[in-house]
Amino acid sequence: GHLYRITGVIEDWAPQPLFFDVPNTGGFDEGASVYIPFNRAIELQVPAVGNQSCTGAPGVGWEGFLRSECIFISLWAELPDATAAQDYRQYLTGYAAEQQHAGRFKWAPNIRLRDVMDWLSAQKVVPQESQVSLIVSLGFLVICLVNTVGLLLAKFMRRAPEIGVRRALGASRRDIYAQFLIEAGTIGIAGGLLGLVLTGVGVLGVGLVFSESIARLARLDPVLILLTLVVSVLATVIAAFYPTWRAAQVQPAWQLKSN
Amino acid sequence: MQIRPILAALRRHKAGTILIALQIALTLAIVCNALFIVHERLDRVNRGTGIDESNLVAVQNRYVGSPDTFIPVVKTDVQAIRSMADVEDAYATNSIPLRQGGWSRSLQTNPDATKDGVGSSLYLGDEHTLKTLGLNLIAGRNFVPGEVAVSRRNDSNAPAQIIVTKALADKLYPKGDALGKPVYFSQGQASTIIGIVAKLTTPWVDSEFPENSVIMPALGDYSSQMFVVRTRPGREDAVFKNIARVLYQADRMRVIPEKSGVRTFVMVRSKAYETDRGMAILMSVVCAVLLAITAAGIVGLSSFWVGQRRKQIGTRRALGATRGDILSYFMTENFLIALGGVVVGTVLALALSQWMVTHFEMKRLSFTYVTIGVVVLLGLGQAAVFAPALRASRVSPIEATRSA
Repeated sequence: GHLYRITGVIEDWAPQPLFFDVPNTGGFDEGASVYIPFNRAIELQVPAVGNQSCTGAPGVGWEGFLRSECIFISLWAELPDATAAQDYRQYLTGYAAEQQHAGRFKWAPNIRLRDVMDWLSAQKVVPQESQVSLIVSLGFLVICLVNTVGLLLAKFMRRAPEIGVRRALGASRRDIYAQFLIEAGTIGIAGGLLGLVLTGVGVLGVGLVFSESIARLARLDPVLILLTLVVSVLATVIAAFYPTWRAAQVQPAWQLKSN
Repeated sequence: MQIRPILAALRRHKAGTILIALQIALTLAIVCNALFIVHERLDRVNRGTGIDESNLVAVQNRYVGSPDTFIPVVKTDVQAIRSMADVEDAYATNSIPLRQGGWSRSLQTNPDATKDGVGSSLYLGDEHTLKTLGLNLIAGRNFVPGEVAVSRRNDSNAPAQIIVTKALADKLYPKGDALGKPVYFSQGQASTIIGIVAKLTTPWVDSEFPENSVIMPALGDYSSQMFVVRTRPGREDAVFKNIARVLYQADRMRVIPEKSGVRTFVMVRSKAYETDRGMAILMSVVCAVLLAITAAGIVGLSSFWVGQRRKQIGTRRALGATRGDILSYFMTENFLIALGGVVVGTVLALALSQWMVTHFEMKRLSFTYVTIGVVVLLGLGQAAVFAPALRASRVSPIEATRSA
């Protein structure tokens, strides 16, 4: 083996997704522990570990491998702005055309120059499971909202006589709106707190459903807690609009008649 | 049955009707697609590999150091494993099915071909491979020891003899006469098909050519080796626990990862399909909870309605309706609402399925699932409304005369 000298120590760096090495890690992994200069690795003939795709047989030995049409390197370029990126793409296209004319390969230039987001998209770094789960969750939320509208309607309209009395005693429609929307908000908070317990259980169970590298990303942090409560209150209040409107339409006279 | 009066009465309670129908529609859409996803995933998980998956242990081994060649240690290790009491047979390779990493090649049937070749995975093996994996040789013969060569990094020698799967043989030589015929790797030298096995899948769970595999007789001259071990029946556990120790005793200059270095094939399969299994679990739980929520919603809303209509029910009873009439009135009413809901729900389910087909390359929802979903939801609605309807039927006729 070779002796290497450590020249620097960086903070733990594992951006999720690992945008710089999606093909070999799937995008969600622990990150590298050791970095060595590329040219030094080539000098030392460090064998490439990772995806290797050869369109033709490589020549003999290391030199043959380097000069072959085997793809084992990912190339990144930092460009200052969009115009520079355009120019760079043109430069690459020109180079590819040149190589084609020189007989290196037979196809027309087929250059892709993607920024990080496009690259992640092209590599399909978000697993299909996550996207389908998101859609199903949103559908779930909508169904629960519809359910809540119905149940709140039942709950509020059952108190029609009480509303009638309040209105007869001088409460305006706005007062009724306020009363019931606040009531809905309270239900939302209570539901949200219960939901937090279930969210905690869910975060524990997420490891059962998703692979470890993705499951690691789901953590119960303050942002998630706040989000749960806010969504709960907001959803309940939105669901309460129609039932509250119905409650506010209650005619005092009808409720006060003894029949 | 008096359907028209029921519909007329419902027109006065539009809100409640729409809410129940909408909930049933949305639940149908989600439940149908979720169950379909569960079915798809379970189908994937149950796909066979073509190998005998019981009594099979795989060891992922990496040698430390840089000798000129790894072949002598590989041979020693394989010998050591084969001489373990609980081991029937073993060999060294680069990969096995469901390992999720391996080699692939593009194959041609003539050396000057310009069109795209046939994709296939490539496994290293020797004359013990067929027995260790429990493969079914349907034509030709196994390798002989003299044919086992050495494979080096960036090698340009194609194997002289290969064994292929039936699927690959049929793809390369559709007339069915693949045995004895040549196959050309990109190096341009001929490899003769000396044997055909029934089935051997690729290392990847998702592959463009899942049944195309080639076994080439060679030992890999690499630091990374996979030892595949067939244990004596019932001795899988013993081998699983002891094999790392046996290898380290023979030679300490290696690393076998602690957690995943030694795995039974059951564990390999489990890891390969963990996302599919997880998805199936998630969708099943979602279905169950959704159905429970919809049922609860219907119970709640129906109870409320019954409460609102006590006077009307009392009047009907006073005028001669029996308890049974009242019960069947409410059951029919719920059925009609649910019917409206499932009609809309079917459209939504198919629309959602179509959207998922275009965005996620999934298969289209089959009508069986829609039918099952419709039956389940209609049944669920009826079951949910039964208790409130029963309570309605118990309303006494005296309610007709009460003033509040």
